Amino acid sequence: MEIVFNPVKLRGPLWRLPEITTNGVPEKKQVKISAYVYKADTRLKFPIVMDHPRIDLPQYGEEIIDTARFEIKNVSGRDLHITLIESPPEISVEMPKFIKAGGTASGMVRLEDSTRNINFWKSITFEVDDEKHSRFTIPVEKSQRLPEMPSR
Amino acid sequence: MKLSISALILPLFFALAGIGECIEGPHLSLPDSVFDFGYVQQGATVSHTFQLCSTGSDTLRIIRIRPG
Repeated sequence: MEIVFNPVKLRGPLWRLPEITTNGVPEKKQVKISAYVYKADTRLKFPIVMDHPRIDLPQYGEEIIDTARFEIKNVSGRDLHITLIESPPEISVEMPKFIKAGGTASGMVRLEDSTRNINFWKSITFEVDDEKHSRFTIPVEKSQRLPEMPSR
Repeated sequence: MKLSISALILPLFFALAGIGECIEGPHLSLPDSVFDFGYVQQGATVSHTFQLCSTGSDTLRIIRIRPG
């Protein structure tokens, strides 16, 4: 069961309790998702900064763009280990495991062959080992786009 | 906030559920029922997949899913 979470207007700590009704006993069961939703211009101080707020794999024609690189900068003031918590089966993720204080490391997302003909909107979740064990979920999008027209 | 759900029922996966014995009648097991996305930028679309396991002796039917 895939839960798609798209907080458009709300922000702050959020949780939802989707409920599944079956013919079993007990009849109803719940799952729980939680997130801390922040605005792009937030004053929150994060231990890391990413070069892009999402990972994009735009497709403009017949040639498949199957990889996307991203960079993570450690602004926490201490060395950080990174753990990939979840990634979808449509992609493989090379996530840096360690970033020195003040350093930058790069990662990469690569499309699996089975996704050549489909568009998707998924996400990856990773965690860093700062005091709060901060966790981040970043969207990953593969979609067909129109080529940009040259500007005059 | 938009919250949408699509469901995919897996066949009997006792091993995934970590349950060795079969429960009498239909039964839904959730190996993991909690997920924390952590920090999510407003407007982003993110997703998580929960495993639904049918671990009873009878066919499990999903009647309804309420987004929450």
